[in-house]
Amino acid sequence: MTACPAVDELRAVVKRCLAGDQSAMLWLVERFQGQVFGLCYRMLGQRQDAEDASQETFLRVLRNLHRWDAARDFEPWLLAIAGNRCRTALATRKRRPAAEALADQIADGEPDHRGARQLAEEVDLALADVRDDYRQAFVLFHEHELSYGEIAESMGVPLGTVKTWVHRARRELIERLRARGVLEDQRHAVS
Amino acid sequence: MQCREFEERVQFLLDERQAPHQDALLQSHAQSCAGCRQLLFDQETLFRGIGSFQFPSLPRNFASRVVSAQIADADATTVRPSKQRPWLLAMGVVSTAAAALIALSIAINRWPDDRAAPGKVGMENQQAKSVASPGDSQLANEKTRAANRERPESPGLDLPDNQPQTAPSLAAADVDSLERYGQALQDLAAQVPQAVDRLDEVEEATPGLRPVRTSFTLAIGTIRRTIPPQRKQAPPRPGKRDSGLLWPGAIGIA
Repeated sequence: MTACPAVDELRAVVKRCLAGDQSAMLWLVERFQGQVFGLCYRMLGQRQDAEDASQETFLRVLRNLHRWDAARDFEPWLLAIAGNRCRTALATRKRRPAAEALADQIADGEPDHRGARQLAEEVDLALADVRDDYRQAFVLFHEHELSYGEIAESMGVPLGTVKTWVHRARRELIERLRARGVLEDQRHAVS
Repeated sequence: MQCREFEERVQFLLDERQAPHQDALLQSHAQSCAGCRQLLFDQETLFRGIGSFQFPSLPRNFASRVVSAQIADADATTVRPSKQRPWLLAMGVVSTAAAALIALSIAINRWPDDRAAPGKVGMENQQAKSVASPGDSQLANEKTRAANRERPESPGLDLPDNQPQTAPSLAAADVDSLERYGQALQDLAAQVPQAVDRLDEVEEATPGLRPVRTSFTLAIGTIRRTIPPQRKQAPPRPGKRDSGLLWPGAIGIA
């Protein structure tokens, strides 16, 4: 994950965006499109839906930039909007079968390590079955490396709740991976 | 290390985004405890899986597409004020309401001429009705009309009772001259107090028509706004009971 750009720089860019500077808008979208699309993809599990949700997120962000509190971090605010778009999409759209979502990912990536890739796909599939809010908290923590405080701010829940959600997401993921036979029995393994 | 402590330490390391399987304390306990060994293996596998997360890349023109959509959206928002066609609609509604009022005024003022309706005209009609039988109502109306014809010409507001007046010709309103149009409206306005009294009668007879009064008030206000500003002459107020309606004199129609 890349570090958030300097706050002053971001403020200046936002100011230019508010003045209608298209190059500043372009910079802002390019700077954060990876984070937004990553979250949307993980939440929606399907490329086209994630792309649509990402576009909607940025349109909302650009339209509501004047509401951003410059005293706070930009990324949690941005990802909060993305999370809301994803939850709306989840509530209104029918999800594609998991196999299709997996096909998207296989067709797109060309990783060198087949085992690692397969494991990531398994985790991704298991994650799709985890409760929406657990999943969002988990992805924001492990993939976007937001702090618990930032996630709490982004999702509008207490910090302790976020911790609980992330822990439960881990536990549920392990249960699902076990059920799918991804995790081997190590109790009798000799180390 | 207890198994409970083991589990708490695993969660702590994961919260710190550190790999639990690289922790020496956990390793040593896992060698002697099968359950904790399984837990460590599971968490380590999950940790590796998260680290290998991938997602498809966005199209290269994604950002420019978003900015274009944003600009188009902003343009649409800017253009929106030109869509203020409701004003045109409101103008149409106001014109229609004014025309309806004119037609209503004329209809009400001509009512006694068109229908012999005992009890729906002025006091003289009431008196005529009291001495005549229902079959003589037509004769009573004729008497009333004859009495009206003997009266001198005077502005409608000066009449002591609800004498029907000749409604101004609608042809006057058709004339292009603004002044003549204003005069026509002025004449119409002079008829309104009588129309108001008739409205009372109508409402007494049919309580369900109560909203007529509200519509009437609204229409009078509309007419007031259409009268040319040069007409400042105020009509005398009638010395009648308050009809409850905002009649033209009260709202400065003339």
